Amino acid sequence: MESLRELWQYRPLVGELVRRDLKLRYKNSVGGIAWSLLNPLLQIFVITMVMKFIQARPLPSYSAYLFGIIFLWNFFQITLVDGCVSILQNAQLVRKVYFPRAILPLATLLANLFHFAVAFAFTILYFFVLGAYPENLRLVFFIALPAIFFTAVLAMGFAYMLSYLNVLYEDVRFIVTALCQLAFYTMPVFFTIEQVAAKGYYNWYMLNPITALLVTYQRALLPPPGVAGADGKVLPPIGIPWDYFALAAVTSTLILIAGYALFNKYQWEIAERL
Amino acid sequence: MHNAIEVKNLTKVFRVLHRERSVKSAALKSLLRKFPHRSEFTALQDISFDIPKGQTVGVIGRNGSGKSTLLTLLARIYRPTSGTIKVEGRVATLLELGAGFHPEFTGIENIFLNGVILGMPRAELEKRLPSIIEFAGVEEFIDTPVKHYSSGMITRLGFSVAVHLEPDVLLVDEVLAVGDHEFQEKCYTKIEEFKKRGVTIFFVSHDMAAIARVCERVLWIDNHVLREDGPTEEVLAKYHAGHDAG
Repeated sequence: MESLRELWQYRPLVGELVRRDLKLRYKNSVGGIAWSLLNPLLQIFVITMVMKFIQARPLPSYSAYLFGIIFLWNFFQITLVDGCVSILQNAQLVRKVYFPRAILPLATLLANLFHFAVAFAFTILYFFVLGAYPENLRLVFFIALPAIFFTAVLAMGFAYMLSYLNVLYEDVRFIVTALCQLAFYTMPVFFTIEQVAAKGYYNWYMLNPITALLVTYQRALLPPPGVAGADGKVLPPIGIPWDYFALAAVTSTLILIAGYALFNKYQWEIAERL
Repeated sequence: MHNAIEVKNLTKVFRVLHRERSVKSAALKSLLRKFPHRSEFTALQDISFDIPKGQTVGVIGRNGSGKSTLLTLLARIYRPTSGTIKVEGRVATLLELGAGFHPEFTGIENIFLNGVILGMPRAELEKRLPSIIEFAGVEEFIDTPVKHYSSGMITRLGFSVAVHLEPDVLLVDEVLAVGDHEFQEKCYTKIEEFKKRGVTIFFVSHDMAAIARVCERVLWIDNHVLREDGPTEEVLAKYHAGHDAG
């Protein structure tokens, strides 16, 4: 608790570090924001094209549903990887000046949250251009916000654990990057949650908090699509998975508490080990 | 009179773990049944002293005797193994000038970044900006990224930000050795100014002339213990005698 109060006192420094991150990313590039959107947009384009080519698109408006997953997943993954190296990258600072070390992963998260906010606004704009909105804009749209919030909570919890581990072992970040890439293929990107349910794996599949959060986010933005099953019949649609969303919120919070506690316990060791 | 710094029975032991630096090699070694071994290293042993407010204290000792560790402990970067440290008021640490400067940022941007890192609110920094720039003597280059600065310019800018913090306690490590003669004189003037204002200064240096010039009291750390603590001239005389004998 003491450490949380101190963190609060240091919020000007958090602001300054976030500003530094944002400035650095956009310093030498014209239209910097566009660059941070380019990568996920290409990703969506390529996946849509591939799925079209192999005729595996589960639904016609597939790219819209990809918009409802890829950006939030990217935010999660980048926060994990950036957070993981945040201490090592600022080693010079950590060794020379006192401040609560917990600030560094936090500043990374906030900077990435800013990028995500831009992507989020872009997504909504795109839905209007596509004609999906305002028709499909429903009140549950606002559930997207807590889904984003708990994704951030989960990412933060992991970032605290990983940034400490990365001080101990410098190759942790490579392992994290590799695992994230693997995990990406388990997300409902190349298939929909209805297809998972049709195979009977739904209850296992949704135990993963990040999966549950992504599905919640997607289904808050867009209504469940009509997906054809193997026999050509439309699969039962799945809306917002309230129960698994609640479970994911609890899991994420617990992971954050555990991650922060671990980080805090060893925060003195960090400077001595760098 | 109040003490600005109180150190009681301070001991710092570093546990050096001869450990693998990567998961890959750790996994390999554990397969080969080679486990890390520990060794311990005592950097400071049972150090106690009080520094009243406004005193300027120098710390001397050979390389590796534990001077810098002491400063790092006072700056709260390391935690003592045992014993207690109390430091009162706003602390400015000059362990390394320009720590936290980002090479891609301009002088001004770095002043703000560094100032906030050292604990000064943005509004206060804005007020003191002209004075910081003038003291550093980098007016012409203030909008240039710091990567184009000379090392002297970076040092001057770092020092300038730090001394404009208006600290109650100033911890200085060997940083005045850099910079040209003119800038060094400016630093000494600033230190005199601080002394008049009642700032407590804790000053680690190898430069005996500098110590003799600014400090009223000297701590001599030898072989990880506090060997002498007293008025500057007395301790310096003993230090030189000890060196000549050794």
